[in-house]
Amino acid sequence: MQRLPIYFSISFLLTLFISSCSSDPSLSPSVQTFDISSQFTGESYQLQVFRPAESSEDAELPVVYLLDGYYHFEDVKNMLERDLNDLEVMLVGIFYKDFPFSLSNLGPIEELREIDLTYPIHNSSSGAELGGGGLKFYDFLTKEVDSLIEENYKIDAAQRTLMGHSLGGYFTLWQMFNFVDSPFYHNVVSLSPALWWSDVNILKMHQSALQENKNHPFKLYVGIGTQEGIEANALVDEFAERQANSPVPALVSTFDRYEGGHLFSAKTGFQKALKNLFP
Amino acid sequence: MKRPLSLILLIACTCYQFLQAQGSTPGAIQSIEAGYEAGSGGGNIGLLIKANKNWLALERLSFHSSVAVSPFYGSENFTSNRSSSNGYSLDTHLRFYTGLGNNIRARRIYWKVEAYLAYFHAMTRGTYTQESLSISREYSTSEWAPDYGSRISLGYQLNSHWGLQLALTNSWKQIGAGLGPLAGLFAAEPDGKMSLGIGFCYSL
Repeated sequence: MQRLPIYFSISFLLTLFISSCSSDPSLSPSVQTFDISSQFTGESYQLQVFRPAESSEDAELPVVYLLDGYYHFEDVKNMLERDLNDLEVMLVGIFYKDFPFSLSNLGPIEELREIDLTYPIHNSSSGAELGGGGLKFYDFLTKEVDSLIEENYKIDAAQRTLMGHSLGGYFTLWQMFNFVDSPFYHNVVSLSPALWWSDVNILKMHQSALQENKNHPFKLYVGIGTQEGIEANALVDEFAERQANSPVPALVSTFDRYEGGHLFSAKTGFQKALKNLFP
Repeated sequence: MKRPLSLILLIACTCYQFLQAQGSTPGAIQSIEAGYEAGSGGGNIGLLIKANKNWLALERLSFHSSVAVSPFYGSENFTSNRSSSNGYSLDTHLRFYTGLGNNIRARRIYWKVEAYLAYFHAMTRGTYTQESLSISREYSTSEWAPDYGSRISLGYQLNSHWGLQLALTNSWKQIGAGLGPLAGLFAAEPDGKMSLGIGFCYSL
């Protein structure tokens, strides 16, 4: 009888371990990969494509492009397989081919994404010029990635979605305002966006969009976690207030806030965004 | 399904151990820990007070349950280019541990591995200003949230009462948020807090 507590203690630790384990990151049969070298950025990328197993090959599915696939693809794919399994969308994650996700590759991944996901440059407080490769990365996404996807799958070309978190959230907003004359992505998801980038460039673009009074035919979802700090939350509040008081024409926007920090906001936010865009 | 079941088991085990503890060893508390914690993210300066109840003590191995309070404070004060942010965050963690300890090297050196269930209170208050667009906004939040994680500690017994120890505490809540076990390294908020502590353990 005295040993019973020991068994309980061991089971406690085991169950905590089991409950903490993330799912097997190996690719499931429903995921296909494509390697692609970009003529625009000069980098090599890997695309991971998830198409619901039960969907017909002839079905033209809306395609969701997910930036920073190395951080978010597995989680969003699991979401689509489990919690949102009635959602008929195709998911395309963007990865860096030469830098699979690992502790030793985090440095190079962070350096590359800071270049790819930003435009214009950002002057840091130390005087360094950061980022600025967003135009090339946009060309890579819209010309090279999309062509490859269209060659291999039937997609609904009128329902392209671009999702990003943090710098990826900045990129999705930047491309929306910057390419308003030739919109490529119809739905835009921006989670915990780095609105501070380049002296609040996104808010300035929003202001310009109001002055130009152009139609922005997009469905926009912006989300942020409550525990992401003062600057990040204040800037999203400012963006939401400006859009509410002076809406950019034709832009259908949703601003959402949920409990959690910067990383957790991605987990919660992508699910809420997909539900919002595909009710 | 797997995760809720595991959590129910965790809670059941913790409750059982607390009940089992009653009367198995003399006194309600066998040792108290106190220390300084360097935490990741928002609240990065922390203190820890932890009371341990040994409910089974073998020659070298002990099983225990604990309750701990850890407040973490951090400031968000910076000025960069044309913007500034001034404020603070305070997150306070109430954690219920269970785990085992082991003495090695003639009982001078000991280590413990523990798992915890917790609630934390997260508070942030401050003001953000930006020159270019004349932005001035206040932001505040105050909320409770659940958490779970682990703690590994290594100590040196100075005498029959005092031990000096290092401990690494890590929330596991953000596993599954995309970064796997690396989440703690990058978490900048209370919901993925990692902390490295140094302090004393006083045995009663």
